Amino acid sequence: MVTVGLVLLIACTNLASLLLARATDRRKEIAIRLAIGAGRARLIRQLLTESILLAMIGGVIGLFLAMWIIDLVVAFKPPVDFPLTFDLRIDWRVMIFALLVSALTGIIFGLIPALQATRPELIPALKDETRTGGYRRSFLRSGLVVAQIALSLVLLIASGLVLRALQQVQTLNPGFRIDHGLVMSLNTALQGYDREQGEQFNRQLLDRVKSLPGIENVSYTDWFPLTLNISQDDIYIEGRPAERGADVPSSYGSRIGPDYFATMGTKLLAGRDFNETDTRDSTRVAIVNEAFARRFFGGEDPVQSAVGKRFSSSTPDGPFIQIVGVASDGKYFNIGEAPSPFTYAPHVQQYTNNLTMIVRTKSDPKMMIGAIRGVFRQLDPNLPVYDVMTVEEHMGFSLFPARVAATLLAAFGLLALTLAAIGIYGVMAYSVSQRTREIGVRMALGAQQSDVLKMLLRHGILLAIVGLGFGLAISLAVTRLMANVLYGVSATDLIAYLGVSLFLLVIVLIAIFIPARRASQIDPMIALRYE
Amino acid sequence: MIRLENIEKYYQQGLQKYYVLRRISVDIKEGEFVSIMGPSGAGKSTLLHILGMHDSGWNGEFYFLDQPVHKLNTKQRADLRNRNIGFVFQSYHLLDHLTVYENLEIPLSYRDVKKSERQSIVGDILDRFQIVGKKDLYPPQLSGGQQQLVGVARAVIANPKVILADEPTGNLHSSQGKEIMDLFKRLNSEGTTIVQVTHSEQNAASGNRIINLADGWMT
Repeated sequence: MVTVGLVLLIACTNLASLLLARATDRRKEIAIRLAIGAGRARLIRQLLTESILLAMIGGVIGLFLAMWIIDLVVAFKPPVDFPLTFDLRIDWRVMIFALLVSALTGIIFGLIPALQATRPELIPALKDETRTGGYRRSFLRSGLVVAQIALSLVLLIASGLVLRALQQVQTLNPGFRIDHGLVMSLNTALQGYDREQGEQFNRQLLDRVKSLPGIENVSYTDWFPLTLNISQDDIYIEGRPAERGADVPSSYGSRIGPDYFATMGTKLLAGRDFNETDTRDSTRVAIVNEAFARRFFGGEDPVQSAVGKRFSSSTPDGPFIQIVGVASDGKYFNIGEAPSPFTYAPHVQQYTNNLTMIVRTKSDPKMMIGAIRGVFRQLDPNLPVYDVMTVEEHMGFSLFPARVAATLLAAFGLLALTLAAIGIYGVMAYSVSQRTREIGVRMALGAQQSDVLKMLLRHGILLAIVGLGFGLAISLAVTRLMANVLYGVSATDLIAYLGVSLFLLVIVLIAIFIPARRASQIDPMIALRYE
Repeated sequence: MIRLENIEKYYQQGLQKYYVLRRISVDIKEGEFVSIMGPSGAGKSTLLHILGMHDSGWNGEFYFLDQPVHKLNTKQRADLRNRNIGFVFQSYHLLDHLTVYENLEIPLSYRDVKKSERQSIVGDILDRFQIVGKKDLYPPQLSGGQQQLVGVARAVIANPKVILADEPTGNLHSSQGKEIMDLFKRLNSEGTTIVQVTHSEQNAASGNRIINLADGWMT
């Protein structure tokens, strides 16, 4: 919302600059109208009608553009494992809103130019002495350029920060290997398997897949990291007074098959992995992560001290589960999260039908999909296998929100940049055209092209620096509000601030340079005749 | 000092050539006060801008202080102009957002004269033209005559050998015009060559030679 508002504001400053320029050009016409008796209110009404009409035409074109963009958005399928459609329609409410905003924009940003234009010094305006008395207007135009640069910088810094965060996130360690990994989901209940049948199926599946050439390891889990659908369990540590209600600590957890840690590439830091001694009827065991050990056991070496301890996830009085190992931390819900407690239970002790098989391959995992599907067909040709994807593709899903945010912000940032560049170019071109006579005089008095270019650039660069200064100050205040979506990047990240500022400066300099260079090549003879 | 040989200038429109100047040959000696006269559209101002080396789109030969201008590049022409020529315009062409002092300083700043030196030169010229009291005023605060006085002061500040004036009294009433002409005569008597474009017989009489133009031809 704020982003859209900022883009609108930049577009509005363009409109205001345009109207101011037009008002200056029509100074003589307005003076004539005033001289022959037109009331100021009537002239303001005429100018406002023009600006509102201009804004409304823009609004209508915007609506058509929106319709086209909506088609693109609706056609987009996000990488989620459930059907998601965007209900984006332009109904009468949207249309009225868009037209009202357009009309309001026309009124607000047309009013100041209209007020300025209808207050000319009559005699010089009638004599068409355009060279005098334009400083208030040029000050306003300069102010608008400064505002455009500042607002663009805010948007660009915001998108720069999100992009930097996305870049950082991609370098974060999720706690498991991303390369050469394949995941696919199955649910033996869909074929009416009971626990015994299901366990037998799973055993055969693992054995046969593992024996395929090109397979390094295989396991399964009832919940793969960085997917949705997981619930928390309360945690009661044996021998410790139990907390009550909302104060009861909790942890997320998953049930895993044999060789899970080896297949995932997650390190075991202490204790042992689950093995064949952990059966349906043996002591209930669990492996916890480092964050769990730190959270509940603390001390100098929480990882080691956690091994052998017991906890319950049902009541303070048990049944208790013995911790047999501690695994390294990982990312469970989003890639930017802080480490949180997590438990792993052997699937054999906490059976579920709904599983995700994880396969670690020696070569391109996609090449193995056919062979693995063949194993499924051999075991049960009717069992559906779904959500087949590489772990890299799965990571794309977990980064989806950050990517959407970055893409949107970058798109708005670029839109703002384009608008600002056009606006700055327009204002510079106009102010240069207003100085044509001055340029001619200076050249007649001995100025070289380079002197003229320097003079015009100096003015533009000054505006750019002031705009960047304001933009940086606003960005420092605004980006603090974004801190919670910036994974691993400070809201005042120097690289984003410097990079974006320099980028914007270069764009602004180009927008300034083009009209300035054209003006410096002006024929002084023509410039001197210019009035 | 200035020698033009068969200078021609035309504008091409489609296949048609529209001549502004035809076979102009003129010799102006150092210390002369020459007036170029003729009806509107005769090519007077164009000729003046060619002499001032602002206009480069012409054919023929142009020698200035024995240097072949027609063979010089843009930068060489600009150097030659900056060292030797001062301009006075009909509509003064002072920069309204600069004070009288700052307006006078402009030609010096483009000739890389040091700030301290500029101050003393501007001080001298203000004194010489008796406009010290106006130095902090802006052009719109001056009368037309005063503005043109500043315009002439600006033209002579860099100590040019030639002053080119394009209808210098065109926007002034007669008494103001007379003052400017008297000033030109004085400058001329001090050795400055003056070439002016004028419609006024009276002003032309201030000089010692008249060049008449009509439809681009010398008559």
